[in-house]
Amino acid sequence: MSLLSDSIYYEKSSETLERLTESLEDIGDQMEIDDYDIEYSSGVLTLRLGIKGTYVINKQPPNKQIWLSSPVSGPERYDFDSEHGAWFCRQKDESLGTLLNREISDALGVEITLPVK
Amino acid sequence: MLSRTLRVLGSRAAANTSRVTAAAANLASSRGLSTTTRLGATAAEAVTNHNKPTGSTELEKNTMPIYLDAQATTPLDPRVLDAMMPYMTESYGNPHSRTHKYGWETEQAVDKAREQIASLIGAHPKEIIFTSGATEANNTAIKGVARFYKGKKNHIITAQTEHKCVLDSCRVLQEEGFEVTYLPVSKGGRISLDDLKEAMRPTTALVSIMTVNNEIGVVQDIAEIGRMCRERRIFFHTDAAQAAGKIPLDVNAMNIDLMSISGHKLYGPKGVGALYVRRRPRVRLEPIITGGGQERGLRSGTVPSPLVVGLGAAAELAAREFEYDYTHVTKLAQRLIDGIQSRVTHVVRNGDPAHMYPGCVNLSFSFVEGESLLMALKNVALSSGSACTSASLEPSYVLRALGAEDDMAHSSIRFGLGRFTTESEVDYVVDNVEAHVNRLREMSPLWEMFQEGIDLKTIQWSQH
Repeated sequence: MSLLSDSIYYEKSSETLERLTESLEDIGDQMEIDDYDIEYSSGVLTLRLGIKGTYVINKQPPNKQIWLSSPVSGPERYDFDSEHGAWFCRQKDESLGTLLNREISDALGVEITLPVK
Repeated sequence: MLSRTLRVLGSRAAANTSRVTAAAANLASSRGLSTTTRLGATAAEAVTNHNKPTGSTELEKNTMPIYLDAQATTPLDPRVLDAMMPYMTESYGNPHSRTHKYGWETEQAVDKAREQIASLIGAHPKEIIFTSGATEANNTAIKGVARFYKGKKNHIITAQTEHKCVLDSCRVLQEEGFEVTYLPVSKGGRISLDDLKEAMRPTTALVSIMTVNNEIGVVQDIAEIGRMCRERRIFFHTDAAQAAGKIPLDVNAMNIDLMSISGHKLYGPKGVGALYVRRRPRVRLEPIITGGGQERGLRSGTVPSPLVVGLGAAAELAAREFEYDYTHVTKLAQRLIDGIQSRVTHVVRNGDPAHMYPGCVNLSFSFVEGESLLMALKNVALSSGSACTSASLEPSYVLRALGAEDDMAHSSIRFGLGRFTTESEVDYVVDNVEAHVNRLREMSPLWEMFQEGIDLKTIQWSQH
């Protein structure tokens, strides 16, 4: 469990999810993919990629984590690493940004870089 | 279902006017709710069910005046009430309740209403968010877009004849540091596209111009304004409260990015409206009502399912009966204007007749004061641009913006015709207008002086 304060958790998680929402929306607009839908409300970001599956990325305030559900790699939990300013999962020692960049680029068939580490 | 409806209508009738009793009686005597007031019933059927005062003196004491104030509000279409009823009675679930059937069935109804409204304006259902009315929609659109883009863009363009909620939102933004350009209008009430082009800057975030004006009925060149805004990547918002369901609208063909819709101007319920927010290219806005994140986070709060279902039903009816309504209102407006102008002299129609929504007829009667004419026409429900009839006691700023002299603004009357207005009502109004205008003019010293050939502008009025 992270030692992050409530307000810093709120700030960082909101920032991350909002940045993801914005950039994924822009990608969707530019690429005009069928059945691409992105919705962010109540702290839950839902990215639908049609037949490629649905990603759900949400805040988990009690644990001060961000949780991920990926149609490719399954569930994962991320804690904030203040040193690196990124969300890391302990098991795979990989950041949220790295995983999303890889998996979404794969799904879309285009190299994308999200503004999240 | 029928018995519950009648019980509701019956209890209201006991407390209220004979009008509701007659409507309930109509419902009962017909072959049941299912045939007269289902959404499938025609407008003509709905009209006959809607009780009207006959104008005979016996009934005159107990009935309501003839309603010609359609721009202020419109009566609820009986078919809309029919669609709303289940959600006021048995289907009372919260549409955001995910865990049980009460929630699911209401959510379904709300989704259907979204589709109905979207299809009225050529939008995608995901682009419709429900609000408490067009005022809230205008506030959200203008303040929301401006505040979101505050760092990069700080200029807004609107018109002098916009609704108070738009002008006030702009005023609030000015206090927050935004710059606002209020475009003037021509004598006919339209903005000049050249003025608009000149006013546009690289830092303009939003242009807000209403589609149909609520006081004079003039229609702006929305498609052209939309095109100009799209070219310069400026967001275009239009207050379509008086236009939705009355003139054809297509948010894509007209390059509209945000649009406000009002339920009660469309024969729907009061207390509900919708805001269209374009998704491609995406329009971002900062919500003004925050909380649980409903409506995509743009407008938190439980969506009022009965009202929203009503709005959807009203939108579907408007789309389906567009031809009937437009023809009906045009015919009545022509009858009203021709009737009055052929029998009364010195009547001016305010607004450009070539670009007008026919259902709004704003006439100025020279030498007659608006309020006195309204009082004289006591069996007709109307509105006027005169100061006395407004809470703030200022004469209509819309008429002043047209360049109308104060005396013409004071003598203006707005006749609002709608789906339920009848020819005999229009004839009654024309007769009464002729009689009372002539009577008031007889009493008017200004009229007398005018008849004698005195130029009123040369008179030096003494101060008392």
